[in-house]
Amino acid sequence: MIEVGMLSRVAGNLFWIGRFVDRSTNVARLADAARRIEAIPGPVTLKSSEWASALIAAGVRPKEEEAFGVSRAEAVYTLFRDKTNPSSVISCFQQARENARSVRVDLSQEVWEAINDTWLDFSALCAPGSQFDLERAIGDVKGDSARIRGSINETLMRNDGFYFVKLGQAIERIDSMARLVDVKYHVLLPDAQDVGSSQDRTQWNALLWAASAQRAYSYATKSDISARGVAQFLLLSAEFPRSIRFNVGQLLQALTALERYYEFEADCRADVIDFTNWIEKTDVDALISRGLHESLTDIVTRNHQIADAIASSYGFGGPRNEEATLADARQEQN
Amino acid sequence: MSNLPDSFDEMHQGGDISPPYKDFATWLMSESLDELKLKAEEAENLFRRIGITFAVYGDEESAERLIPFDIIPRIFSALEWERIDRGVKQRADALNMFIADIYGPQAVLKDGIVPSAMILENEAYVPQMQGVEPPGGTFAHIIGTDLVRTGQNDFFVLEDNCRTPSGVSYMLENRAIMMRLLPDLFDQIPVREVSDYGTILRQTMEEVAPAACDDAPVLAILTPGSYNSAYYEHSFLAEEMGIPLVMGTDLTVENNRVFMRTTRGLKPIDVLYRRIDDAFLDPLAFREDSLLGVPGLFEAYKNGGITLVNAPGTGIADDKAIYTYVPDLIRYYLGEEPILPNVPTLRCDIKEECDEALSKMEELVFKQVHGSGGYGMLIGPRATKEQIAEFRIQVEERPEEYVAQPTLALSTSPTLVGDKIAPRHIDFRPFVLSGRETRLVPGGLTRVAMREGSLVVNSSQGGGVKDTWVLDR
Repeated sequence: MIEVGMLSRVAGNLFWIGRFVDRSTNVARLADAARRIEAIPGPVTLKSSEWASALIAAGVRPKEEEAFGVSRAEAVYTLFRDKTNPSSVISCFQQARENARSVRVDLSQEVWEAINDTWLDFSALCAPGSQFDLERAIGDVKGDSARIRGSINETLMRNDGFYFVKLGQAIERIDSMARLVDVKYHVLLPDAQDVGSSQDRTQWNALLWAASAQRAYSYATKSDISARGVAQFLLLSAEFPRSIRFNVGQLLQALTALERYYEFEADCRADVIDFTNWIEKTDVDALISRGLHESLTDIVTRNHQIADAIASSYGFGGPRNEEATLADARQEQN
Repeated sequence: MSNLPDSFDEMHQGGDISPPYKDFATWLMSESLDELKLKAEEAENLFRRIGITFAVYGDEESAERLIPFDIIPRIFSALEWERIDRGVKQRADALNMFIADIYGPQAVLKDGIVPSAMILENEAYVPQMQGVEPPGGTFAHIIGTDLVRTGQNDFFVLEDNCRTPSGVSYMLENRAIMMRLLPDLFDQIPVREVSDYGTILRQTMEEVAPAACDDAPVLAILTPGSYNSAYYEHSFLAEEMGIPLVMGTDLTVENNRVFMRTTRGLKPIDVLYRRIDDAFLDPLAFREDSLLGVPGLFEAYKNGGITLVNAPGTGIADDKAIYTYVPDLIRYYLGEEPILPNVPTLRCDIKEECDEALSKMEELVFKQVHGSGGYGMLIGPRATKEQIAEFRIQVEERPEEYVAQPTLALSTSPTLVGDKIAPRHIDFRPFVLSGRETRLVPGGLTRVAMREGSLVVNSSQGGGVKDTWVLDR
């Protein structure tokens, strides 16, 4: 008889809790960067393009032509409050909460309450008629999701459930950083080598802000901002906790811990090892000379494949949330 | 509008406080209304934060709702409880013997105690269960018995719930929240614990492990999913017992054993507390279009590969038409007189009784034989002429679907409503657990009709809940 192991569906829910909670913060960071750029004197086009790039990076308006020309109010609404946008903050919290609600048996009371509180509070903030304050919303999202991550770290048993959350978190971070850098480089600065103006400097700063990396960058590089330097830092830093390389490392670590717990090596391990080896050996010049956009697209694709491989290794692949039809589920309970 | 006699109040008798409430009343007098309201607000906030919600179907706007919680408890003396305890256990034992008889030798039909047609042609009778003998001969492991009170010693059984009775999570959460809000009270008043319900339920399930189980039994709860009205309870119970909460899609059947899909492959389940209806359990045995169930589950069950809690087909014992026979069943199976009586009931499938019922509709409560949750009922004294006329047509069209009972003056309990404390009608549901033994934790779910004068306590109809205290002396 198998003594360890959890329901595959539950593992999937935990994995997605990791993803949605992190996604909410990433969206808030994008908005935070756009808001800071606004406050700096400069051309209006630059300001509105900041909101456009936030929408593109959040995956809300994948097509550039749809993103540009969006007003600030509309962008803020789409990023935070739009329930029809599956990546808006309200949708992230809602989906995190739905996933948590179906696995609350497997969460600690504190984690459940942190997620439920966050959803309740943010729903109230987004309710029609409530005063939506952008600055406050950004602070709330960062604070609330930090509370959730904190309660996960503080109160979840270090067993399979915890590692599935961590795997989801690492996958999400890799994905969001790749898309963030891609948008800023590819969409806003098609000619990446053409740097040096003060406007460019503002752009690089905005990118670092959106990644919450501005202090870390200057501390770590001790050099002036450059396109190459920023790409190197956000993609390949071994120390910065939101860099792609760092999170590929986290992915391997969580998987290794899970395998040790199960005393079983999953099929997806080979893919993760390959990914780790590749990212540790590559350097930023190689990525740029290949074409940064192409390199980042590869990373995103590879990351998706690994997420799928993890899901199928542990039995939670296929369509998520396989709820039976509503009508059937709604039988009366006496 | 009310033709009801005055109701018995649980706390006040004339100018006196009834004995079990004495200590509580002293405390209550010392609290200001504002303090109480503050506590009530805190309680509501806790319910929301913990996520103790239920769904009301057809109400998409507020898909999840809070049940109104009243902080004034309903209190039983030790003596009152002793009678309820014996009465509901007696009833549960007789009902289990009845179900075993129906799906076994059918002696009760051969002896003419209950008409055969009433059983064999009943929708709640599950022919696939004929001949099935679950472990220990227990079919209804969990029974919720709805009790009402009309006087000091006048308790009546309103109905039995032998399928998947719900509400026990409120018994436990109401207590937890009361203890959190008013810890001092529990120091002063000897209230018996209900917190080991999960342990006792676990024990009950372990006692009925199937033949195929050769190790410590693996238990699980089967839920229709998070859209179900009682989903919170399903997850709460899984948490209390420390067992997995599974959905149909998590399960598969091989060689008459039921397995759950885990991250480490298939893991067998021995005892499944299912919170989905019989009809949806297994598309191969019951409704073909069920997406909630597990193909092959019933075959595995029949072959002793898994125990289902409760067994399929237990609805035959809580049908409102069978209800009228339960006192006879207690005499027949146990040779005892019922400790808790039935409410006198007119059956509309019998012409004389139906005529009598229709002749005084404005006095009676009409219930659908197969209805539940407070839907499809008429409370004569509270209905308008038009509503009565409309309902009469329904009863005349399908008399066999209705029973009628006198409108009982349900007892009232002081309840905090808005800016005052006022009497509201209540009922009570204890939960009897049957494994190798029949057990009952000292408590249950007290439901309260929050609207003035209302007799409908169902949560789907705006009813609330109270903590229920059983005193240790």
